[in-house]
Amino acid sequence: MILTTSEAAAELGLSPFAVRKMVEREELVPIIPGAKPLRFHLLDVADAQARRVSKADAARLDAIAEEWRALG
Amino acid sequence: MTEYDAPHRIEHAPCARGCTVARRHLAACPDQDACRGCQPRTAENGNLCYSCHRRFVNLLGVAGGQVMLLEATAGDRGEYELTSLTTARIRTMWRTDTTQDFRTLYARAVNASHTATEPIRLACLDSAQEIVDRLSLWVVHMVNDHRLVDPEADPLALGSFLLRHIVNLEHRAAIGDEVEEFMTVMSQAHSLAPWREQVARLHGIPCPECHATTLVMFGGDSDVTCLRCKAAMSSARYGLWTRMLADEHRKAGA
Repeated sequence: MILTTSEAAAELGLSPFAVRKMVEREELVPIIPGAKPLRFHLLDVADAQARRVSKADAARLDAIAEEWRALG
Repeated sequence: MTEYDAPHRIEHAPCARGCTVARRHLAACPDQDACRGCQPRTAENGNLCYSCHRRFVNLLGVAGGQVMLLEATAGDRGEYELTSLTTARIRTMWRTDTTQDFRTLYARAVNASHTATEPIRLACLDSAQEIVDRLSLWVVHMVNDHRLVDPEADPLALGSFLLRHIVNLEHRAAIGDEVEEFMTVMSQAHSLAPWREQVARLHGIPCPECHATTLVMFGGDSDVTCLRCKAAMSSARYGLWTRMLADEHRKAGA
């Protein structure tokens, strides 16, 4: 699944400008580096998103997931 | 999951395809920060985990259609492209008073892919044959091992037969490697004769395993799958997960 800069920004909860900054800092790699307009693989955006999750948020989600697994 | 003589002792067998749980690590994991998860996923359906089982069921369901699509791309089977029907009177002669299908008089067979070159055509035929061979081999094993009645030698019938006996099939010792091989064959077939499955993104809901918001629902499937870690859950379990997230969000807001 291929995303535009705006779609990647919506996924990450950032502005398109911030996404371009992430590309400059090589925190997010576009499908063809240097090509305009930028296009991203959904899984690359998901990886970047996973790196941005804070430890507290991850722990909170883990706790809910544990509870969810116990119910199943 | 295998229960032995001691009822209190349940051994969790790992998935035969070597699937792992995202962000869960074995005690011996050397680098938990770099590792995406190395704890094996439990085999819930025979020797396969739930995600592999769902993928396998899906592949068996579409295998027959994929073979037909490959044959159409190769030009062996395809729609007839009708030319405009003539209004001229056709005299009864050897061409029109035989038992042949009249449609073919006005039509010519065309390749579904007009640009299919000979190597691609041959690759399509090989790929279709590979799928049929794989399905037939499983059917032979099923029929011999469980004394079942042979299905028709048609890819659709073979797929349906295997779906009916999927429980026995998934208990085969070599199913992990066989499914892996079948997935490779189906992937090659898909690249030769592509088709697109409808995918509905489930925006904003994190995966319970890897926390990425890459949950999707494939068309015709009631299950929710994570594109990143390949974890799958039923729609009922997904409903429960979203309710729990919403409750947590409400608590945090209050």
